Amino acid sequence: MNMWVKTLIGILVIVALVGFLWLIMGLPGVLSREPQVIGVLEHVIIDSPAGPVDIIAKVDTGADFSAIDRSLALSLGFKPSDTETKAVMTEIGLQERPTLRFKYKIGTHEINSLATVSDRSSFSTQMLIGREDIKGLIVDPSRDFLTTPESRPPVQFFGFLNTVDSQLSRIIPIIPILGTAVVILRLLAGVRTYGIFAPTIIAVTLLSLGIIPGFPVYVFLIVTGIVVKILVLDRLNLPQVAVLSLIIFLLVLLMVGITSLPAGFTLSFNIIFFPLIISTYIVEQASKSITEHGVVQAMSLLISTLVTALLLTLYASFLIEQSATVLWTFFAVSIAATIAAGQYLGLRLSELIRFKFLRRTHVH
Amino acid sequence: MFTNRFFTYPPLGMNRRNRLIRKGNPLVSLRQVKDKLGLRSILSQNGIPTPHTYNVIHDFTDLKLIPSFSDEFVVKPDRGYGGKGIILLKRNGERFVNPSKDVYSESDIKRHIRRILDGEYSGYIAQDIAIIEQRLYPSAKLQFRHAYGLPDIRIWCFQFKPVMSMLRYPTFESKGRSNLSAGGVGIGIDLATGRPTYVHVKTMTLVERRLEDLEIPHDFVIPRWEEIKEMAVKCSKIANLQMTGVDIILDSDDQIVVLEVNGRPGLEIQNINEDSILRKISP
Repeated sequence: MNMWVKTLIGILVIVALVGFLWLIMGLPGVLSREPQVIGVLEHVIIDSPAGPVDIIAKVDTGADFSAIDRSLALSLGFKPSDTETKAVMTEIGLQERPTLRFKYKIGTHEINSLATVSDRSSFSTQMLIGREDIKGLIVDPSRDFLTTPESRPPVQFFGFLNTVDSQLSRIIPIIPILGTAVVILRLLAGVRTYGIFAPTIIAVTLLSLGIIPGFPVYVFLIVTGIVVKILVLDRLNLPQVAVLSLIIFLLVLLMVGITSLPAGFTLSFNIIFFPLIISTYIVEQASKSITEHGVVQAMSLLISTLVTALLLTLYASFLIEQSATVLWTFFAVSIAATIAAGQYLGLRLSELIRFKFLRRTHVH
Repeated sequence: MFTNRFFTYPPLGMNRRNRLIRKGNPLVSLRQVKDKLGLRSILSQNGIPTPHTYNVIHDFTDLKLIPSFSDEFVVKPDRGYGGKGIILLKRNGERFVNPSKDVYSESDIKRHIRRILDGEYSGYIAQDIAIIEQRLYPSAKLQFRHAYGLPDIRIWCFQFKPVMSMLRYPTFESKGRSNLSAGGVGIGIDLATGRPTYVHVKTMTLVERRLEDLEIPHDFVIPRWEEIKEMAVKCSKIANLQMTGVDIILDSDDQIVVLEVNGRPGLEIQNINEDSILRKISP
């Protein structure tokens, strides 16, 4: 083996090992840095002399310190300190209150608390959680019990079947259904496109952006890409991989330009990422085809790609409106339809036109 | 079926062709014929003449090692398809020209070879091999009007029997490539007699031509027709492919030379012959 190859493999292995170690050592740290969201009411587990006790506490972001009910503290075996006191502003003015140091947990989050002790018998909760205790946590005031295992929705294997609020979980089953549409268009109608499933990915993007600004903007993107590739990039005499990379630069510049326009949309990462690679491929293939087969053939293929994407977008926007039951019926039917379309051995619709010299009407 | 309303006899379509390829053309054999060098060595081991290979360029180091180009040669990618990336060159002083009179310097040629090595003409494979080979000249018997370069004869075989055939020749527009998609002209050849039937072109930009326009004599028959058919069958058997398109040329000495065995032959030959392959292969 070549020494260079060995060196390169060595570097690769070292980088991989570093990555692996970083994952192992750093992952918990990374995860704990993810801020946990808590609701207004939360179960807390107090680490008391009588053992762990589960009570319901209320988050009060208006208070500096937490507060705990005196009789609860005493019953748990705590001894509130009268020497270490805190001044607390109440309705009746500034009050000196005894304090208590103890540990408790919200979910997996452990808190060392310095709480004031008072009579909370007239309140609905025996404990208030103040700002000092929940540094690094996020409070969602519209919800309760976000950290309690029992109150979370049960984890199901087909959990996404019931999920209706997430757009993404609805798009995922739509992608293969659109794929089936491509299969049928290709095998039965003979529709040809740049990249067999490219229109599927474009359709998903258009679904998120909306057809009306999305489609024309996408066409603009592709056409500009092709023009610049032919007029500029092809004259640089670069290898294919460099040209492809420059097309990605070009498309990103165009996308950034579009988003900065007054009427531009905000493109999220998952929206731009997939069409970027697909679009690069389309730009490259179309411009190659122009030089090889002429503008007419190249453009007809490009148009059929874009029109297919448009049809798929309409289909997808119909699907996304459906209930989960209808959507998953389409899903199952599409699997069967794909297999059925693969069995079709007859002529494709386009072949009725293609084999023009075999037609009955052809007279030599 | 509904297609009978359109066709006297329906042509072989892509769906059925692909099914027949899946059934009769094993992947191993398909890969074998796609590699021109590999196929060439197998064919010559079986005594079948193929073009002489001058240089095989695997990487940039090989490219540097070429001392000089010969006076006439062809550059082609090992795994190219559709005639892509093939250039025919002839020395003209310090430079080279192709049949369409485009001028290439040595560095132009090397740049083209680099493109081939990068796999640019070979679909989406990472890299390819460039072949520099003997440039063949056509038999004087196959020179018609408007012909521009080396005509080849495509024999479409199914289950080791010839089914349909055509003569393809390059035009000025097709830059020496005879592929129909590149703008080559196709002439249907009657399988039994070797006589031309119809002339067709595929690209929309070219005007339709008739046999009379090509000034083909009335009694014209493809020379050595029976041998050419036998050769195609022999190649199909060696390649172990039930469906093939064998590309054969007659060189300037009227010798039969096999250029290529195609394991996924196109269906345009049906238009050229105004006949259905399905009709011929149906039992």
